[in-house]
Amino acid sequence: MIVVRVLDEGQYELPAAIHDELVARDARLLEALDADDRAAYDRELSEVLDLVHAKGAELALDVIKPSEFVLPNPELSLAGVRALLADHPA
Amino acid sequence: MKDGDIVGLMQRASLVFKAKASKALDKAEDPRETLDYSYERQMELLQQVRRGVADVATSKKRLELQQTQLEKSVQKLEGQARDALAAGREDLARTALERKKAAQLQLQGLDEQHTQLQAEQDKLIQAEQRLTAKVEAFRTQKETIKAQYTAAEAQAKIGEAVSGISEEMGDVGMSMQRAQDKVATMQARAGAIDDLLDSGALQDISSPGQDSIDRELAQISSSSQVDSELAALKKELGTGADAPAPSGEAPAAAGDAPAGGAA
Repeated sequence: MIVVRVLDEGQYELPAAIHDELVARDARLLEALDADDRAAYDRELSEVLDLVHAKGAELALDVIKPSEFVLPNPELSLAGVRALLADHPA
Repeated sequence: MKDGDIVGLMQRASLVFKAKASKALDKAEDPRETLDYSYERQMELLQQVRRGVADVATSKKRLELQQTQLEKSVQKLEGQARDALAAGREDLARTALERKKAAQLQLQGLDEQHTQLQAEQDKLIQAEQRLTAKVEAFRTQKETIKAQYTAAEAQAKIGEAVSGISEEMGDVGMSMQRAQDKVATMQARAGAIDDLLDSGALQDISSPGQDSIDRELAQISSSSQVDSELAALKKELGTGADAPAPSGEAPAAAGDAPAGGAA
């Protein structure tokens, strides 16, 4: 099982089988951010969100686990996303 | 997974949260201290979130009061424009309509803000409920872990619990920050609308402080009342209403009154 958090929404459990797909989509999301391409970023993010909502089950509220993937909420600006990642351990 | 393997945005974001938690874990000599420390922080955050929910509710209330005030203004100004026009005072009617337009514009802006605040409030309430449940689960887990504490095994459990709750707290903290920003924006705007209302620019034109317009409007209003009372009296006197017609003055007054009343 993969635990994914959607900021402002909560955590989901997804089948391990879609791990590779998530990683591939995750890379495209970062590319869009690096290219400062809001349209591409929005498209990628909404596709990942759809995937998480379609394949994921909400993680029980009494389960405390860190998430392997954290999705920014869609309203966050690209600058906001960069600020979120600014503390990324080098 | 090594950091070098991380190529994505979502994985990086996850690492950011984990890094924050591990800093807290590294600081404590005894990992069990981290559990208690983290729990204290959770309780503090819960208090803040509850205050945040209350702040959003207060702001929404203020906004609703302004909406009511502006809606009243719009209605009054509309009536005043009609009265003024019926009395042949197009200039006053124009002033009233201009203010009505300005008040309507502000109302539209308030509607949008109200929708936004409502959305923030809903999200914050959900975040508060999630955090409450997580904190309660953490409290139980904390005691269990402490009771069966045997170095290495417990350390992994502590790591997961602290890291998991710290991510939750980070998420809730951001939601709260955003709600606070929206409240601040809204309050600045509400302050500006209050100033406009105080200045009279959005008030009905007979409001106190609008001396000359006030007097003129009061005159129009009272004379149209007199006209309609006159017409009513004439009607009461029955056929007598038509009798004074040849005198010249009366038909004009009788003719004006229904027009004013219908407007």
